[in-house]
Amino acid sequence: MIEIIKCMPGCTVQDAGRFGYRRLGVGSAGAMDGLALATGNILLGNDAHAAALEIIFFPLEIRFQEDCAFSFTGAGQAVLDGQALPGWWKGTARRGQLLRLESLGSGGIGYLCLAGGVAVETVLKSASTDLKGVFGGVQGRMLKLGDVLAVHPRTVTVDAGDFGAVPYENGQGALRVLPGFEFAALPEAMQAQVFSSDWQISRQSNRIGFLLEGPRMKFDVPVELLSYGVLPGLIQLPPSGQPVVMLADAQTCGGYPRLGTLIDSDLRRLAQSAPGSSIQLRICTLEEAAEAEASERQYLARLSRMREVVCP
Amino acid sequence: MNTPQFHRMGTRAILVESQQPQADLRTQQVYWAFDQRAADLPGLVESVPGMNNLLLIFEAMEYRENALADLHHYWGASIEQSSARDARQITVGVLYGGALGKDLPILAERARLSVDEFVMRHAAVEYTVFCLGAHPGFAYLSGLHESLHAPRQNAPRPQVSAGSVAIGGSQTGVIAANMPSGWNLIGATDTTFFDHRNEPPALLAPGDRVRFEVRGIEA
Repeated sequence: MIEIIKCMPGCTVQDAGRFGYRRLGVGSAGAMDGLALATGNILLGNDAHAAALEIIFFPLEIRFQEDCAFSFTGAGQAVLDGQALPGWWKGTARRGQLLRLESLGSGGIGYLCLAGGVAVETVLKSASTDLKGVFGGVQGRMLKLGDVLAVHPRTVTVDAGDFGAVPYENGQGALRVLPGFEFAALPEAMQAQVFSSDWQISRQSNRIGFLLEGPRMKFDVPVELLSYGVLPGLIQLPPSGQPVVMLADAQTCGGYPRLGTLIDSDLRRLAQSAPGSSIQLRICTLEEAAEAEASERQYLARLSRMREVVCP
Repeated sequence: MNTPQFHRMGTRAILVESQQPQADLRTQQVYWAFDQRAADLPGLVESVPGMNNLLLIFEAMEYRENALADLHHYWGASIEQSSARDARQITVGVLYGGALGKDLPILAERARLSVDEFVMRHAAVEYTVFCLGAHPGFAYLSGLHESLHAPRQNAPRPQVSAGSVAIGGSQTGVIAANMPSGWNLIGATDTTFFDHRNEPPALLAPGDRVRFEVRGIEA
């Protein structure tokens, strides 16, 4: 068990997401940086999709009420009883120890995984918190001071000390977009602007979507659409002219015109970018998107093999 | 019937959609048949019926690319064999107006109807559930009388109560969760539309017929 000693808003229990219920209006929720979650779980010998704490605003402080191995991946810095730990690290806490997760000042999302995985009720096949539906995670809400969370009994008993992962090397530069839908209906000058502009991530961004502030985009003739199924990564253009990139808590159906889709690898990078910072977009091909996905799979597979070597 | 467009969405999904100004039941019935036919495609994770469209999500890009040819074929077959669904009839008791339906007087005035007449028109129609979406348990209903159409609020209200009966543009429905909404609120019901502990969790399913029953009108 762990107890939350200090907590900012936005901290939730998330796993890889909830699938199969979009047709009932239930979105996926789940970790916004699935690769960081999977890495943290693999370091512990957990199922890669096991539930963990997602931290959007730091600091978070927890007290261990039992001996427990943990890992911390993504953005931020872990400090155990005053001792700073390396990034993307698997550590071991003794009962009574205090773990503080703090910001490194550059924004981003952190994942605290616990050996065995955070034990919460599985709702519709997932532990992820659905804030809109108010279910999953801890009573469908953000964590708060005084919450006590249990962990699943460990399936792996061998503990080979503490070690870390080399963080996945994200691509640099512009975030990759598969253009489509109404993109071709934008005036040509604006089509070019989508990929030549600096887009500032609005401070109103959240788990539902990231708003991009920059040149206002408008269709010559307003586009009216019937409501259609929406997925994270889809870039919508509401009448405000300010594009929105859908994220994990996006509604399952929407009606705004669409410019294309951010590829999954770069949707993670966007989610890890601090509100107020700037990003660029560029066109990519399906082949390029497939390569990016394969590269992530290889990273996780390599990590699993290495862990088996360290903890046979 | 228009040939739909097949859009790739991201790396793993296809959105098949018919572009038209209003969703119609005949087209929707074809999509229901299409959805059932596509359910056995290899690597399909889930499908999401929308308003005269269907989103299909696959495990990986290869499955999606392989499915494209079959989907075109399935579409043709669905036009031939679409049929109405076994419709259930569900009655939703509504207290119109009052604190939870505070936009009712304004909407009635704008429609140049008395509040009573506005309510009677809303409750006179049997609506058809086209699909569920947006938030858990929310049903897109078709059939709202044209005289009751009303543009959404300029800015969404930060918190609307679950069970609010509302009109947004040409659509009406019951907001199924406590959440922000820009729809106009005309009443409230105590019917629960989504409970994750139920099987199935959602009260309504595509094809169901919904009728609103007037439990009272508060000015």
